[in-house]
Amino acid sequence: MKALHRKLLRDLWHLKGQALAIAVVIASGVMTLILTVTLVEGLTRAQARFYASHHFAEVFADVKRAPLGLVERLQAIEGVNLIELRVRAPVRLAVDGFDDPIRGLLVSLPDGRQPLLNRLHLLQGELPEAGRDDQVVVSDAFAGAHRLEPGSELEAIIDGHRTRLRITGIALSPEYLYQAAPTDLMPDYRRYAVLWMNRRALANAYGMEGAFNNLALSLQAGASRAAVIDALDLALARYGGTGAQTRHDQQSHRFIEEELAQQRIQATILPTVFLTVSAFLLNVVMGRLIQTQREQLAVLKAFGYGDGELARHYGLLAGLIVLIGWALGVALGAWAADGLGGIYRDYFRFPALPIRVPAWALALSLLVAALAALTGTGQAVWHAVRRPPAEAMRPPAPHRFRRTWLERVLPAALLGHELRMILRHLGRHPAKAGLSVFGIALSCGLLLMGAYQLGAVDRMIDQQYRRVLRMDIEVTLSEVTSARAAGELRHQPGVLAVESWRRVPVTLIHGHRDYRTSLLGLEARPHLRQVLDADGNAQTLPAEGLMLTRFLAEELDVAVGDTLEVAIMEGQRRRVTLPLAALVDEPLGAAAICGVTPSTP
Amino acid sequence: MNETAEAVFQTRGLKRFYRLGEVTIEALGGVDLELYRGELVVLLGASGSGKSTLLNILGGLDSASDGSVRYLGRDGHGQDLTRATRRELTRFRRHHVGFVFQFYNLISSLTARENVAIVTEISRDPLPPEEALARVGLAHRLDHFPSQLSGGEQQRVAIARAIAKQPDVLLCDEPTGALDFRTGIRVLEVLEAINRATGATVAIITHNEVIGEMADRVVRLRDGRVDEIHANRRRRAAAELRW
Repeated sequence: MKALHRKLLRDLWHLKGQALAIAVVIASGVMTLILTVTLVEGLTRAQARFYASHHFAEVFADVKRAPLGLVERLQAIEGVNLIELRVRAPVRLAVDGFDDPIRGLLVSLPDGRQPLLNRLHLLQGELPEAGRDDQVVVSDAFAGAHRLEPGSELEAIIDGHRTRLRITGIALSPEYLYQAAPTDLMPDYRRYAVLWMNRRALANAYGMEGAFNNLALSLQAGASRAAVIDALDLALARYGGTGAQTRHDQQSHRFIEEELAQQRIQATILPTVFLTVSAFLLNVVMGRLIQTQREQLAVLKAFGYGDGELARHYGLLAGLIVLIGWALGVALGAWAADGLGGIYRDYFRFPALPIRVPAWALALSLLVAALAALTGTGQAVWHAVRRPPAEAMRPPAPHRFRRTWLERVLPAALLGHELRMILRHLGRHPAKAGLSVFGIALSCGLLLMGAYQLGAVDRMIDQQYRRVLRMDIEVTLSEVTSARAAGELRHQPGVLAVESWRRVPVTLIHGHRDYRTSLLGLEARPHLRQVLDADGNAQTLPAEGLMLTRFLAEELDVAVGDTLEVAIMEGQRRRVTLPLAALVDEPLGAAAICGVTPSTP
Repeated sequence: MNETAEAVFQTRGLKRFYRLGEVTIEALGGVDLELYRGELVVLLGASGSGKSTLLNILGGLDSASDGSVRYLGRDGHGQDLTRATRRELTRFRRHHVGFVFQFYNLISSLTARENVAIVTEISRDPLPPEEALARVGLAHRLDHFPSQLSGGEQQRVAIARAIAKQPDVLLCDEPTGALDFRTGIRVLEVLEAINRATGATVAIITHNEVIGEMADRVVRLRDGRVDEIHANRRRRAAAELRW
């Protein structure tokens, strides 16, 4: 080994504390980069594969009840490829030994075979036999939560009748990668299930013989989504269509996409912060090291070492620190990605979610870390190397100090000698002082960002579940029901108060912008489902007009006092014009709210 | 030395100014001087007389503000140092000059042997580091770090480092300045022996008048100019010097 390399290793050992600190900061940046990139890549690939292999549909629509014969008209819509007409129905379930109510969603399968779209990935067992009305396939998350296997039995209340269902298979579906009940914030696999049943049996049980209430379709290459949706809405309107949706509005798909978007943002912000801090630290440490080695550098030059050789020597020192940090970051990133991948496997039910660090991520992280190091050390090294050796051997000339503008502004009595020295030191290297401030600011930013995320989730949960939704029990009825039902509930033992509301699918239109959501009709002064203003105070509903969440108002570019067109997507499908009366501050959902008295649902 | 001897260095009108903070200092104010092949010359002068600046320019560690320095090597290699590029100066230092500094300037993270090797590794025809160290009487201290050596031993390592490349010229800036009398004499004996054995031109900077007695010539500097040049009729042996 060359003597210069020995010197390098011994210098590194001498600096081990500082070197390790910088390596850890670099490792943090590389770790977050590897972690997020690996997860995004793994999720994207698993999603794409599963969607393709199991023919995930591209457009979805709900109707109240439409005849199966409509399929020919739907098939004739330009751009439509495959259509799957289905019956979907909510169901109450009971599992032996589990006392809480379980909500479920029953989805029809063509009798005894896989559907054309949204095919099931059977993990165990098989599809229900053709002609059987007591067999179901259940979602694997629910089966896992209750240790159900093919052959196990469940009790279901289908349209008011208790029925025993036998599980024939356990499956995954591209349609339900993320399985949360419609009103839930997070998946609860013990209390929510998706079940697949033969179409005939399901249609019989729900009075849907010869009809469907849900469809999924795929598009031909190059087809216009908007045109297909418009044609579909037109065709389905008279059958109670509530508006067709693309994948973008499909719950499971949307959730995964949002998670991916969040990871992509994290893949940019966190590594940038960590690597900027490490560049700053490298700059400080390398600057100091070179300062202390000023004479050694001069001696090496005196004996004939060239600028390039010495720049390489110090560059290699920084490079080794970067390499150690990078290797540590890759190892930690791969480990964390594997761990987080395990959590994702619980939330997103892919048949396989292989977590592998992509080679390009290794190269990218090394490049980014090396760039950070170069930014941090390049200037210090180059300046030191370019200095003539005779100059480097002399003690440095006294630094140039000047009176700072602060000294001129502040009264002399306020300025002691210490303060003067501090001010003049800061004033001598304004860029360096600025960078120090920036570096500290970034570190504080990192701390705050971590704390902010936790705080934000806490606040959202507190706001939504303690201040907005104050009920102990929420009962969802499958049909619009007379307000008398609320009266009956009020008389149940233990019930203190009952409040009722109605939810109607609508499209809100303002100018050229529109947004599909639901309109929530509440009592004039709701207590159990409060409506909060920006200060968190409960609001009384306006006698006239709509309330929108702040998010929704911004999406529609509408201000209080403006009017909106509201297209009601059920019943007589009326269009009404309403003013925006007030804004609501709710962290979750994008609902429109209006007042409705219980007697006029 | 006589007028017919070959000049290794020849300076004409050599000037050097420095800006130190906000002050401009004239370190050399026009030096005309020759150093001859194989001689041992002592540059005497008070602090600030310009002797270190002169030595730095001769050794290619610094560049002149005005005037010229010509170098002629044993291999016939001639060079105008005032016109040399950075790269040419680096090559000149690498192949032709050895330096000995007042404060040794050893690399503290390397052993005696490695301190010599770091120079021999980039030289054309070097002595093995062990031999260079043996010549200065340190064959038994090869693997000691600078912190384990006395001041005199450290300076001898520095001399071994300077001679290992077998340079044409050995430039020594106050080599005994940081040493006690006894150790200083030991170091001067080594320099004297090397001058005689290798025929390298040795230039020693000092403000100690006595050291001048061991030289072929003594060049006296004052205020950045050559004040007097005096040739000794007989060189005294370093061991005979007393101060």
